[in-house]
Amino acid sequence: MLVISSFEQSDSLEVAIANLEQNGISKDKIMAVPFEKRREERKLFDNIHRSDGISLFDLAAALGTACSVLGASYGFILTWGPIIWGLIGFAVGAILGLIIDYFYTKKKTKNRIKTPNPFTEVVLIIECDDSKSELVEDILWTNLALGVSQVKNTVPQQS
Amino acid sequence: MDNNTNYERTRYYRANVSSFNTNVLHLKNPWVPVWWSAAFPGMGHLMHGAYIKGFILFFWEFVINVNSKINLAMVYSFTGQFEMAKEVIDTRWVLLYIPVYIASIWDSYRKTIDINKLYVLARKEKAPIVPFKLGAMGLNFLDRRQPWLSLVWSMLLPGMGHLYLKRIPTGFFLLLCWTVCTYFSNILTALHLTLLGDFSQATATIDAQWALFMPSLYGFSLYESYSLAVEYNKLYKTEQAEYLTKEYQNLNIQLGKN
Repeated sequence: MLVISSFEQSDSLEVAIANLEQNGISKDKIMAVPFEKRREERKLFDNIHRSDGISLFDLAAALGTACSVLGASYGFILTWGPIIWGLIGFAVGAILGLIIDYFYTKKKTKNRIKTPNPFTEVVLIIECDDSKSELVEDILWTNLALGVSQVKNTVPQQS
Repeated sequence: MDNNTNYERTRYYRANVSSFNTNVLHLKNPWVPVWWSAAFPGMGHLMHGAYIKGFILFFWEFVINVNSKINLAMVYSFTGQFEMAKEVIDTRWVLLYIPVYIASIWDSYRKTIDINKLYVLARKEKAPIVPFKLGAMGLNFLDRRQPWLSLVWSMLLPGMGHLYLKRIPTGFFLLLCWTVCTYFSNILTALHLTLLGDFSQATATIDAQWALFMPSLYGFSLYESYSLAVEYNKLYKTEQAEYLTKEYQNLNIQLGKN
């Protein structure tokens, strides 16, 4: 029978495979299919699940730094002093940069089809005897599988 | 065991995982290193992982800027006190600054273009990426990290975000620079006075020459720790996907055959 599961890419996935092999599932009965890059809408911030690198951060950091230098300088002749004006400069510059980048990126990605953003990155398929399916499923679940399903292969196999 | 022998059989490779640092080729917009080199000579080179050049340029910037009082003159110029600006600039030093400043900006632009080309070649060559390195004095491995967490650590103290990513040379170097600037600029005393509402005393306490280094250090550590986290995540996924594709795609499924 086949046990099919989906995973996010992580060390747990490799631990799952190692566990399966230790429990007598040979390497040629395991198939891992990592997905190619999906068409994704560009997001404002990257996270651990999804990092496209096209974050809106380049200009925010650059303008934030520049305005912070100016703010701190003017702070020496303004009432609140260089610290507060430096921080205000940083915030204003960063927000300005974020806004500019946001509209620029939005314009560039406007025509993309909006797709949902599933976490599945690898599909893992294991062929095993019916007697072992429970064990296999258990190993997959304990190592953070996102979903696990069994397919009973009723058609007799050539062997 | 040394798993770095991989490198010897390849011309271009995408990443070097050593026990204290991960150096990775990735595509960059050349204007980003240009900007950071303009903010502080050497930063563009740190972004490329060109550490020796970066560290020496940092050192140069500190020595020349502090001695010629460029930061101080900047404050006077921005605030319209041009006579003061002319007065504080030390002409024994200041002209030394200009060629190196411009050269470091130009060099980081040129280098980005070159590295982008090498990245394309390395990606095509697909040399195996070594994901793990256990050395006598350190341990390093590829994994997935939260970019925002790295950003928050850098906001708390520049350098910490890089240490979270195990980018050890940049991390400790930024921490050192930040500590030196904090001390000489009196910024913590001024912060104390600012929080107490004594603004004029706070302004008088700050040493502008050293304080003006700090926005660049802060902005850079925030930016780079975030973007590196993203690149390291991509590297991790690439390495693992290539490994799985190579090792675990030999299953011969016979579903539905008679």
